[in-house]
Amino acid sequence: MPNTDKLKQFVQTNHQKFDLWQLDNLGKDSDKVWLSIQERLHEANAQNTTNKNQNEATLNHSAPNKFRFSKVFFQVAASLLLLAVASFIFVNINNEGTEGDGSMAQAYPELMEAESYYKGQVEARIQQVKAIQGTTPLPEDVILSDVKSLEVAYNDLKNDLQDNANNEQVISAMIQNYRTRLLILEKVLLELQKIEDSNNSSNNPHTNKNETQI
Amino acid sequence: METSRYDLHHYLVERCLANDAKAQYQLYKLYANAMYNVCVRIVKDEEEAKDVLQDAFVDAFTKLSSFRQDASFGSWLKRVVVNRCLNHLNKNKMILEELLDNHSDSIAQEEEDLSFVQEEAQRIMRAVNQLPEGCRLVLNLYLFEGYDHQEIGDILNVTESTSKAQYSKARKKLREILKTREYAQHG
Repeated sequence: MPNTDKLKQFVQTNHQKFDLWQLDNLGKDSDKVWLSIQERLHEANAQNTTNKNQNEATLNHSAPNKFRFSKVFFQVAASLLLLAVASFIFVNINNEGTEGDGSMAQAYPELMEAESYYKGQVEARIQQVKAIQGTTPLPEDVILSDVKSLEVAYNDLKNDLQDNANNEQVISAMIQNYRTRLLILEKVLLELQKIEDSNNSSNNPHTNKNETQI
Repeated sequence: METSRYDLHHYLVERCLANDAKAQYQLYKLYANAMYNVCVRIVKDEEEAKDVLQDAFVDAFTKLSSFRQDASFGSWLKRVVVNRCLNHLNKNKMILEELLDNHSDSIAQEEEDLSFVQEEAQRIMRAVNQLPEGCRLVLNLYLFEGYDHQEIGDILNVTESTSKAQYSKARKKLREILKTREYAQHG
């Protein structure tokens, strides 16, 4: 059959032409997919660790976190589902006061829980960045400037929410704001780790440089 | 070249098994677009394909220990992706037919400046998406993903001869669809 199968021959000869779709065609989808994957892997690891260390039987029933491209509003819902697993893990990170948020907590309890979770995630990564950042010549405020700008924008959104703007859109933007901050921090961490690795390999002449390169 | 690719993948997989996020990201970047195309070809919808891609990579990284280094990582990953696509199709049987029309329209608008072969590839993919589900899957796996009929039998849990028969049926129908479209365009 293969010799007479012109269709198969055509596809084999032009296989790359059938890769018609680009993951990044519409913006940063590749990064969004990656961020979601990484969140879910972090969550799975955290769950494994927690299950080992504590007898939290209820955790076993928590739904996994996913950003669904085909279900736009799932983004918010998934963030909230995460909390059952993740909020207490980061509770020691989230010990900042929430003065002035009393009415917000009453009006938007789920959003405030999501905020608490994401705040922990962002803070943990900022601490990681700060830990590695010392090995590079870049000052901390430059590295974290985008994250800081987003933090300012987030506070503006929070004010909008209190002003009774279109709440659904504002909440969605607030969650997206945190996700973007996490994405930026992941990228910063990757870059800093690359710099650190290359510093280490140049300090150690026995290391095989090719080993870490694609 | 092949050896260095193999070594790189071997090295990255080892790092991933040690939970190295950077290595996971590198493997993802190496394969994301190719695997995304596998997903779109099988599930037919670009947004759903992103979800399936996400699920497949989570699967792959969480069960990486089951990957044996004697096989190529790419073909192992493709199998994970294909399995995820098939699970997705099983879950969404009812929705798939509705998605078909929208998907074809969006491709039709982007055609103008592409080369002949590219146009031909798009024309074939649109026709493939109109095939009945069973033979469409067999044709997809055989033509685009490079599996032979025995492997397709394993993946879809059917016999090798069923796979061959379904492929033959798919080719025949595909020819009919392409001819009908030609008449529709020129007639």
